This record gives sequence, structure tokens and C-alpha cells, in this order.
Amino acid sequence: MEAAAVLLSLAMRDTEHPVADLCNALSRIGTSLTELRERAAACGTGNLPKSIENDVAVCIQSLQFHDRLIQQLAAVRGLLASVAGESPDQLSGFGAHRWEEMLESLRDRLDSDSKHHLFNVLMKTGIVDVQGQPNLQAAEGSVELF
Amino acid sequence: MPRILAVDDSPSMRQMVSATLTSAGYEVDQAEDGVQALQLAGKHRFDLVITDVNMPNMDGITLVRELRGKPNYKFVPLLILTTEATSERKMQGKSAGATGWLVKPFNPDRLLATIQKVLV
Repeated sequence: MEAAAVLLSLAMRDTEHPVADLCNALSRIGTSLTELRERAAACGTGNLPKSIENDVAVCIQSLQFHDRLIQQLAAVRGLLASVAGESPDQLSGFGAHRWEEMLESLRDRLDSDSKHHLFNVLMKTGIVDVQGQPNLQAAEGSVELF
Repeated sequence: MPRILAVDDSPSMRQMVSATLTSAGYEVDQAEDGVQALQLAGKHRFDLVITDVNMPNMDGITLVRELRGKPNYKFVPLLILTTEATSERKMQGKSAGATGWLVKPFNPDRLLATIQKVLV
């Protein structure tokens, strides 16, 4: 358990610099695009192809899944570390009560009602059957003004 | 151009929000948690604050509540940008005084459109 937690930490750390480099590159591309747009407007040479801006937007949106993955891995690492930190006496009682505690920790990580629903379905049947259920990704990217 | 404070404990998220907003001409400051955000908000007057929820030291909901308690931020748009999408959490955000709730991953165009809308 402890080794697994350490391995996760190392894997997460390995991605830090490359992702930071990628973010910096995206920021620079964004800045360059702004400058080019302003220059083009000043010269009256027309607009930049919208496809470039769309591609940058796709990169920004997709890169956010890395952040989500890191958050989930950090939660898994925390769970592993908590189990590894328990004494053999405590582990011998690794029964229904402990199982419920871990399930509760996992439920806390779920970020939408639909994921809670799917989690409950999986825990009951072990089968993913979301036919007729709300779209699990429906909330992603949503905006709600109060 | 309006000055915006982006609050997130993830450096990559801060950069992505910042890149999106600066490319649209906004001036952006960054904070890595609610405590740092409150300090910055005390020093400068931001036109909008966009914050994550789960952060160390002070979470985004508490930050919104604290900011709403300050006269300078009573009417400033405060947006929450988070992976969380449960009705319960949204209600907590609304009660704290948030202007809106955006679920990650954000779409840059949609984020900019929302910001334009609430800044009017």
C-alpha cells in the first residue's frame, strides 16, 4: 500500500513540469494570437483564421482533464496512505465498517449527482448500465448564473 | 480593461484561466487559495473574482462569503469554477453570495461570454 502511494506520488510529480511547460506554451500562443489580431486589425489585413483560436480553446479545455486526473489520483493516494498507516490490529478488523468508511471517502470525491448515481449502480451490480440515466457529462462545462 | 482575480490551488488551472482572460484583454491577478485571494482583494479592487471551491487554507465558498461581507465587494461578480456539480454544493455557493457556478472543464469562449454578461 505504501509503495503504491509512493509510486502514485512519483508519477504525479513526473507530469508537473511537462504540464507546466505545456501551459506556458499555451499562454504564449494566446498572447501571440492577441498581438497578431491587434496587428492585423491595425493594418486592415483582416482577421486571423478562427481555426487557430478554436484549436487553442480545445487545448485549454482538454488540458483541464489532467488537473482532474491529478485530483483523483491524490485522493487515491490518500486512501492508500491511510490504509498503510493503520496498525495490523486495526487492519485485522478490515471488515464491513472499514469498507463503508472507504466507500464514504470515495463518495465524497464524486462531483455530481449523476456520478453518485452511477457509483451506487456499480456498487450494487458491478455492471455499468446507464441506459435511460442522465448524461454523466451533462454538467461538465455548464454555466448557471444565480 | 476590467481587472480579474483568478483563484485556484492548481497552477495549471490558474494558467489556463489566466491565458483565456488575458487573450481577451483582461488584466488578471492570481491567488492559490482563499487566504491569499482575500489579501489581494484587500490591496486591490477587482472587477470580478473567479474561484475554485476545494483549496487548502480557505475554500472558495468561504472566500465568496468573506468577500460579500466587505463593502467593496458587495456587488462585484463572484464566479465559482469547480469540478463539483451537485445541487447541494451549488446551493451553498448561492447562499454564500456567488454570482454563478461554472463546472470544469471550462470552455474558453463560454467563460468569456459569461464574464462579459456578469460584468455588464
